[in-house]
Amino acid sequence: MSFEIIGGSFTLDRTGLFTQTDRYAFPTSDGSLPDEAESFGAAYEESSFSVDESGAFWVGEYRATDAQGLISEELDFSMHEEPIQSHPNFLTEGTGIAAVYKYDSASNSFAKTKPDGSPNPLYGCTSYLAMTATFRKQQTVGNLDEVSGLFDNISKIDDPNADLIDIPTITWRNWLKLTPKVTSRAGVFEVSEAWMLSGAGGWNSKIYA
Amino acid sequence: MSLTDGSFLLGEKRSIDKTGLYKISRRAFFTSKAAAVTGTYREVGNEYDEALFVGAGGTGDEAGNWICTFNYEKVASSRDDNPSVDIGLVEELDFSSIQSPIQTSPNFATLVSTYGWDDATQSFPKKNSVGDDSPLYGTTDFLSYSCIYRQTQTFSEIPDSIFDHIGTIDDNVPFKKIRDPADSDERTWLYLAPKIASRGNAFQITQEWMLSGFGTGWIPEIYSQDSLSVLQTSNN
Repeated sequence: MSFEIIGGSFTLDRTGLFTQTDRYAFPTSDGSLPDEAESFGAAYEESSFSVDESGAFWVGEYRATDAQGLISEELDFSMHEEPIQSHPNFLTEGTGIAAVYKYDSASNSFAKTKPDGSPNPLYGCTSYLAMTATFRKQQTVGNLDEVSGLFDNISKIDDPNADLIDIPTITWRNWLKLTPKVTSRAGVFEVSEAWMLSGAGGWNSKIYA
Repeated sequence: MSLTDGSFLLGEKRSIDKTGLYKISRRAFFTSKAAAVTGTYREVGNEYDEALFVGAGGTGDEAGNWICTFNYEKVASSRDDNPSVDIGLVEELDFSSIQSPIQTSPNFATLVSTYGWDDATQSFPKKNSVGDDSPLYGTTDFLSYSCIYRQTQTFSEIPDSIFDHIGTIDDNVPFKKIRDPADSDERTWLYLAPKIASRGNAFQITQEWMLSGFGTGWIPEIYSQDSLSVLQTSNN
């Protein structure tokens, strides 16, 4: 095959994904794309071709990937509103939210005044601010078996499989393993795993165990 | 860095951002693509000047000359050359307007005494107490504001205390240069969950606190650690 290497480029990102682009020039006698240029790309993930302005060469760019063992992790949080009745301290006898702030079960609302007659700060309140966090781990591997427990415990209570961030145990919150995302990139796999932190009280073990 | 025969270092660039993240980029020349890729692969897991390798890039020309950039990251520390006193902490106060139910206004009792209130329909009547048209007829919300106090820093290790008290009232928000806008009133701060990202052998951490509305501050029966930890995960 008649061709000439005319350079290329590569990157290795922080998730371990190595991407390289090789550039070759293929001479053409009649302006058409040489068959060799197309068949040459079979060993690569993607290829693209363009003819130069002289019309004498087609330039082929071939992209390939590899995995190089770097891991990236992040912990991110989000806030949302939950019904006030779902708060773990709502029904605590004597000192719970319902008792202290005079919740009327018939109308499903707080009274205008507290039991002592003072204005009720929860009058009109229907929800409280709950927060959660998502731990994400991203890596690129050559074989999915390299990721321990990748498809285990999905949608179940599970501790994050963290390598870099040391996540302590919180006795009143726990983690739920979310669905992983796996993308094949020629010879490698980009893997993203995620775990979601529960609200106060933890994930319900009857549902998520 | 592994430099094979004919390869040599071209230079180095360093930067420290305002959160204290120290970045080092080293440029090297290689005589072939194979040497450049091998040099890159060998750098995985290595450190340079105590900064961990986090990635690389390279370009080659038609003559086979390859120029590569190797990137490393760590936390800036007092051992680094001339770090300014500003390095290592970014503070922000971020205000935003929000609509809240009119019943939650701290002045609701005054509004009710002036304009009346229909408990059955949970709304203001058409006429106020002296028979004039009520300007609040149809009003269901009022414009309040929220404020987030944010600290972003780079650490070599994640502080143990960073996961304590997530989602609870914090009476000791660690303001540095910014003054607490609620230090002279009854408003309180809620500690939100932190955001953590690995950066080389360091961690970039953002912590946030949310200011309560005017009135009583965050309600302890909802947002204290005792209230939130009533139900332990082992019992759920």
